[in-house]
Amino acid sequence: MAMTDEEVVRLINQPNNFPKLSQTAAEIANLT
Amino acid sequence: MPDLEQRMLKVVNSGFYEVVDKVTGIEQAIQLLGFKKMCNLAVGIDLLSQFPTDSGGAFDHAKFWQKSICYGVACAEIARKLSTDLPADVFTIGLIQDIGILFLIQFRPLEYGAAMATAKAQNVHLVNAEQETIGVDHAKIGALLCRKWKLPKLLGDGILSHHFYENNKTPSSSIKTILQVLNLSSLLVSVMYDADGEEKKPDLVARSKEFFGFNNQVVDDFLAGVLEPAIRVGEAFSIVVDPHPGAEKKEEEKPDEPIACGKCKHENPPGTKFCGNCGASLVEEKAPPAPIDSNKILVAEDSIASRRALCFIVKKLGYIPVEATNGYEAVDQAKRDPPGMILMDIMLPAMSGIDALKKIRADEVLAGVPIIMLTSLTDNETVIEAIQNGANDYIVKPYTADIISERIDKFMPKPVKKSRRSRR
Repeated sequence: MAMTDEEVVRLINQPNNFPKLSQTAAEIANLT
Repeated sequence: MPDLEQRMLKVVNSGFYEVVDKVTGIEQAIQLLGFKKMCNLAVGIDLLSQFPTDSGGAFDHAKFWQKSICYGVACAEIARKLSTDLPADVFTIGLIQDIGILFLIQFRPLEYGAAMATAKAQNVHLVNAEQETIGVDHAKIGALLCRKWKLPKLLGDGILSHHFYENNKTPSSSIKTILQVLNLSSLLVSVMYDADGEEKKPDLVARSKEFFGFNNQVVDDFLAGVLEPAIRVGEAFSIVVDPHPGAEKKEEEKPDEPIACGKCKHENPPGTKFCGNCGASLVEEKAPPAPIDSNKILVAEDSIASRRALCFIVKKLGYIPVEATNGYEAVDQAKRDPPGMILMDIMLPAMSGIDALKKIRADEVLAGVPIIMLTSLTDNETVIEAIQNGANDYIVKPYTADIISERIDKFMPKPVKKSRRSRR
């Protein structure tokens, strides 16, 4: 079945599913 | 976070940033390189640290990151040569541009393997094969991940369009320059690493001139200058960047060896066409390969019961089954009498189905013969490995006659009615 953007976003948003930025890097990213 | 800080400093000091003396602290790095660039760098390095970097399993993460580091370093080298301060850190964009692939490997491994096989077999771009097979491509997924992680918009925009440097929908000159840098870096790394890399060099030279007016010498400097800093960056993550990326290519070339005459056994210098002793021709006349018989289906299965059941279905559909009980037999049988299709168990004795698949795919005549792998395994990795090595499809055991016949219908032309004798 074709994967939609919504499906991608849903998978990204699932907790503990896909590696994510560390807290520190997330804070750094928000600074820019 | 000392780890992140240490890795950032290692990258900053690896040689491709404009720093003369060794940088010993983050504040000093920010002063020299700018706040935004260091923030982007922190994000890229942090991401790399979150993913596996080993080469075990069906997907070689080590190779993925090795190339990604080279993309990043090549981007940074090109940007340095341009002497323009690009608004985003191109090292980071180069490093994480393919991060969407890791997403596909995790959530759609089979389809991603199929997309790779399609791209290779049909000589189409991987992005197009992904869109066709999965419905979405890794560049789009990379951009969605950047949005989720709230990364700077330019990073996401660069990743979204990194395969489309000519995209007219990106009017901003800064993003256009970034896309051109990404495109050149990709070509550079291809020339360094790919088996057919040397063939891409004229394209690299032409685009370097077209985009930025770089001459041949500058291109050669890039090719020579990427590896060393890439090795140092790799060290920060325990990733070994191959110091001799061309070695694999060279191994494929046949060494110049003396040619022994088949008639008098006299050894002649390499390249000689006639024997210096007896005058016999030294050029091997190859027998023409046997043609593919599209009425035959090779059934490679070690279980007698399964093999007989498969042969029964094949026969019932009007094709001629040819049997093999292990990987060696399968390869030998396929080469001697090329079938129109192969049904092959993954877990074969003596030579595994995957190894047999590789050998069959390497054969000129058999390269395009449809191969369906049969597996009772539930782990995705083996199936991905099969698809990546050229299997057209797979069937999970236990299967029904309908499933087998549906797959045969999919890949085989209707049988021509003649003798239907099964043989070994």
